[in-house]
Amino acid sequence: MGAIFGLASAAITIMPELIKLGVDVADLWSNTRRVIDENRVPGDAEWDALDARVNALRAELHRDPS
Amino acid sequence: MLKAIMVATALAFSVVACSNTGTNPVTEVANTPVNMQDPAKAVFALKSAYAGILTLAVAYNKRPRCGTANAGPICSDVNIVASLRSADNVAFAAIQSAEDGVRSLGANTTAIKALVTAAQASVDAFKAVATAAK
Repeated sequence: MGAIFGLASAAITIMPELIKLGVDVADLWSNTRRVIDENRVPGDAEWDALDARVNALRAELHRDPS
Repeated sequence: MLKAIMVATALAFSVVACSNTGTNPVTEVANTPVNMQDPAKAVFALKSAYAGILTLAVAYNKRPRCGTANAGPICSDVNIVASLRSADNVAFAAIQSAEDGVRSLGANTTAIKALVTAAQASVDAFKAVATAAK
């Protein structure tokens, strides 16, 4: 019972983060897919959007969890 | 109460499991095909794949650290996090050089193709570390 509660607590703690990450990646994937499907060189706006996404993710990776 | 806990656990596991199958956006982005015939497109696809791998690494880093007071059965090992950060630094530097090359110098030079190849190798190394982190 205690183990189940511990596992549930841990899962509930990280679940919102996982859902948010999933939404972010779905958005990223649709942008990437569009450029690849259209077989074209990405424009500055697409590069800048990808850079912004990468910078935000890197800031998260290099930050310790509270 | 117990029923609610079990439903929440099942839901959480389904989200976690979803991020490890071959049909979800994280895996698809991390496996973005890279066409080396055109370096500009290749670097964009590679950086997108890198962002997908970063997402996996971020999810791992967000877990409580194993061995701490609030760590449960789902936790992150401090040594694996250090490896992820180190591999990320290498991959980011390589991919940034490749991006700077294709955005400022054009796409048809041998030097740029070498930068893209190096970036691909470093992203592959980062992917190996990130996918091994469970």
